[in-house]
Amino acid sequence: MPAEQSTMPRGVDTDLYLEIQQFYAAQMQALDGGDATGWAETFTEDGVFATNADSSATCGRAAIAQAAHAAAARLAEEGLVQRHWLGMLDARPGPDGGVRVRYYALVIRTPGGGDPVIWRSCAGADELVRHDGGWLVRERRITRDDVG
Amino acid sequence: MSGDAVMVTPDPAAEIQVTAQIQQFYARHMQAIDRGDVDAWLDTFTDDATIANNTRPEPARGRATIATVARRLVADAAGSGVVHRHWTGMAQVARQPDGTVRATSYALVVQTPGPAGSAGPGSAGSAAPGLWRSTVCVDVLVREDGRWRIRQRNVTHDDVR
Repeated sequence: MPAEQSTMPRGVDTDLYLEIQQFYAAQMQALDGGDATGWAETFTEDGVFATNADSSATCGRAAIAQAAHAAAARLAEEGLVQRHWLGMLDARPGPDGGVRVRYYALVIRTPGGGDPVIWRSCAGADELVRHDGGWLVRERRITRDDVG
Repeated sequence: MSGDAVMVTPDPAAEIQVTAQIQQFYARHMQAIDRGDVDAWLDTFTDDATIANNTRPEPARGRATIATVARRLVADAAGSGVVHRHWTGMAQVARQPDGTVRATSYALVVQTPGPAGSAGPGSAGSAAPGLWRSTVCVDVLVREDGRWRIRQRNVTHDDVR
């Protein structure tokens, strides 16, 4: 019996929610560990990564891998270790068996011999699609809180 | 069902169940040490557990050795008046063929100066919490007596090069 007065879209079920948490844990650990290729492989071949800090999106696995490589090299040069923490996942069924997820992300940076700091606070919106029993990002839109 | 015989099943629903159990495990494990309940914390390790990190070349071996180190750290924190909260997150949980679980997670330690560190009204800044450590924690967990325990821990501190 549907509750007619409710306009709140349903979330995904508990098992799928945990599965998506695991997907993000693996994806962020690949990025933070400097595995640019592994990171890029969590996107579809034509995957899109867009942020409000850049007017043009990064499109396709090769470009996404290249951007991650460059970012990892810059961090290494500056002697910083970076960790992405995702939380507050709002996951809802999307079209064609996919899932739309909105989340918050904190980026923690630690210098050698120093204290960690929160470097960035962001909101993210992903479109995930099923692939080989797992998930891939078809489109990611990141809104950095420090960018107007 | 006896605690030492864990059948590994390819059932994805069962795998997800383990993931939820491990998340709860870390909540209990970290809250025990943060409130200074060393006994409860030690009970989350096997008797022969080892803890290694990238600041010390030789791992601590066995619950007794781990206990000595833990009691010293808890006493040091209490003595300096600081309060630590360990936040575990981004855990990747992988069941191994032998029934153990390999969990790779991030842990942040939030440090608050505590009552002893605040200089009274108007100096709220001195009591503000800050990030004290960022680490990656790789644990091997085994099922014992119907619960998960850490058999092997390897911690990487992000500030240590």
